[in-house]
Amino acid sequence: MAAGFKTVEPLEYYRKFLKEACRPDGRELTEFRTTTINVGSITTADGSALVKLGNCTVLCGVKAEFTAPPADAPNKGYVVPNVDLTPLCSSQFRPGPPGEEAQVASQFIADVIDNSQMLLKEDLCIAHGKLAWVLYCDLICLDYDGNLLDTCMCALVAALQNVRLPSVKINEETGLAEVNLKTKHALKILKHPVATSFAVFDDTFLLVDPTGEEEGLASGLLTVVTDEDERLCATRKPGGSALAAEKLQECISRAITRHKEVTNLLQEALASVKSE
Amino acid sequence: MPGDSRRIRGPEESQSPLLYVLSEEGGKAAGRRGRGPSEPRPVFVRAGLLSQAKGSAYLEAGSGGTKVLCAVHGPRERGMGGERAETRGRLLCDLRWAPFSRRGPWSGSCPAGPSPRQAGLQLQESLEPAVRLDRYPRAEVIVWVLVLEDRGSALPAAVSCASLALADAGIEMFDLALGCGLSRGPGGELLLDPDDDEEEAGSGGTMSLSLLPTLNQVSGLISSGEWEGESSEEAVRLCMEGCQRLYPVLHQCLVKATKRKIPVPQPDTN
Amino acid sequence: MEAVGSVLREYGCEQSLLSRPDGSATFLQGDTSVMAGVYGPAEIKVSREIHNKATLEVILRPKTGLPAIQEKNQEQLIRETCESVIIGSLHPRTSITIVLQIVSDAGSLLSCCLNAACMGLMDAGLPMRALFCGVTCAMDNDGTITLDPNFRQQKESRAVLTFAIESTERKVLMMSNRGVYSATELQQCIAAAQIASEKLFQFYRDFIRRRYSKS
Repeated sequence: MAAGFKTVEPLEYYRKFLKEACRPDGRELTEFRTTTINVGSITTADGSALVKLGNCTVLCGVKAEFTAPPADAPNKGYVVPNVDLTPLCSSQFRPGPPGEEAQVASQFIADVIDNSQMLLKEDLCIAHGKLAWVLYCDLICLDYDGNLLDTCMCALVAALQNVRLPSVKINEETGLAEVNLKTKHALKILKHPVATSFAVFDDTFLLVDPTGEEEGLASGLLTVVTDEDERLCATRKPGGSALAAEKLQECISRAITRHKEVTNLLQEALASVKSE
Repeated sequence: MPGDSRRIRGPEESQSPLLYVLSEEGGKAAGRRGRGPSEPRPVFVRAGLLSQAKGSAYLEAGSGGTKVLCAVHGPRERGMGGERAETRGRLLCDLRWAPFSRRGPWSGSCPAGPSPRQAGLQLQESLEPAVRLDRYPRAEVIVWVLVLEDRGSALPAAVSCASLALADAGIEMFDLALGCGLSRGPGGELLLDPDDDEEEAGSGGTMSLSLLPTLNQVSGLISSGEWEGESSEEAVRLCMEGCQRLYPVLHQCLVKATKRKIPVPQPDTN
Repeated sequence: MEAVGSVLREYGCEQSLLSRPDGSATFLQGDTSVMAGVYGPAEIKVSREIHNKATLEVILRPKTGLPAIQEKNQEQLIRETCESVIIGSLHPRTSITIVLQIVSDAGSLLSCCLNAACMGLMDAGLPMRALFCGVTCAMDNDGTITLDPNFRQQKESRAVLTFAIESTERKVLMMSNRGVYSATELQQCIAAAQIASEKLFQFYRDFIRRRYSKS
């Protein structure tokens, strides 16, 4: 009976729950799904992390390579994040080049890396004007169930913290790089941006961490990214129902508490790798 | 192709730091890590772990070894443009490698190894004999396989993983199709389920076989290099044995996944 | 051509300048200029039609070269903004296409695109439940807010925030930004954008009134 009602009138079904300030999956409106972080599971990558928010799963693998620094900034390296939504994660995606959603997510992640100054691109330079690291960060969605941005952001931060780069020396005589795989060092991660997404229902209810179903029914979406100093690195609201300034403040407060939750989880995950 | 406008662009060119590693110290893997020549790596499998797919499976060979994830969509109506009304369904397979799945260079938009098209075709040919496609006329079943980490024998792992996912999706099948790889070392020794070092070294010949274990029929066999009558017979026999050893693991996993799936009490909210 | 000076750079608009589209407009903010062409409601491919509302598509064309990932991002922002005001349910199973051509970019590009899109939609006579306008704010290191920054101001600032404000309750429809800032600074920017939006909406009203009283 309930299943039938849900199929025919999904929005009405949700309203019945929202009136009681809860959601069909049993969560409260401000409650996240269970978040699990698994770091360093891909040994072929220089750093990796698998993050799950409920069903939504994203795997981030970082591979570091040598390249020449950009001509306009000879003291910098590159960070190249790309989000991949393959047909594997949901049948709504087609094979081939990335679609709009994947492109938008890639751009968002790249913007956050730039805005938050989470790592200085100057640190990726090995020899001024000659050699620099390029970090290819590939974010592959394995299971698509809403709140892609939060999951990607978390996977990226965890994977970057897991990166170990081999030490490099430039041979004075030949001018070539010499890599020593035995001594490795971590990246200097200065900031840990955490994203928190909301779905707006009927212009009044704010649901944190929406599932795929909730995203489809919502009248608007909002993503807030904060760092540990409670500053905002990005806020993104692509249209949808209008939001008053007070509602926005509510979202920001929730995002700040979420940052603490995720930081704890990240530390736990990273510590478990070190102790192995 | 770094000029793809639909991705974040990186530099025009980049090289793997492994090319610049000082020689001598290239950490040689400790042989077979204590495995015998005809001993496959231990396998971990799980079925039904993806929420959006009809059926799914994950397979990991050895710790820190090859990791493969598979999702199955369908059966669904075949799109327009197909040939005349066919009495058999169609099985579409897609096998890809994640850009960071190999130890060598990053392989962004132009993946290393066999082309995805060719790999997909090989996978399809190995799976097709196991699936009862005559039960799905004018429909298609789509198999997506992603290699998350390739530490050798990725194609055989993909075959086993995909057949498990097909079974998990409830597609009618004659049998599971299990894959096993083999490579001939430089000294002519046969190494079952080779890892990536052995695959690279074993340019003397490689073989990948897929078997329907209960019917004891071979559904696919791909080999490269020069094989002689006797040694190839031996290789096939070893591969078949390897597949048979895999069967109980997958069988158990499938039983577990099905048990998990069946009793779902629906609380009536009305 | 109308031009009004204020805290914002000089802005101006012209409508119905193209003959082929159903509605067209060009919007100028200082030296930034964007041209919009609106087609629709028109026929649509069966595979893309939505049974209870119109399918909206926004195409953003850069001044030179091919559209890249950045344009795609802005396309999505503009499309979702337009979608929240257009009453698409009045034209189900049709397509509405907005083509935005960047003529020159001298800062505050996204807000100029939004304004051009809104003017274009008005010219096409599509039913909308509210109007919207785009406002860009740039923030310096000491927290001073510059409205409608030009290219140089935008580059030197610590953060650049773009908002789309709707006309009925002055609420925020769209938000997108670059740089770091605190929650209070965000609120200040929203307040500044809301005040600036009054001016733009007044301009919209005067402009339309003048246009229709002439003929």
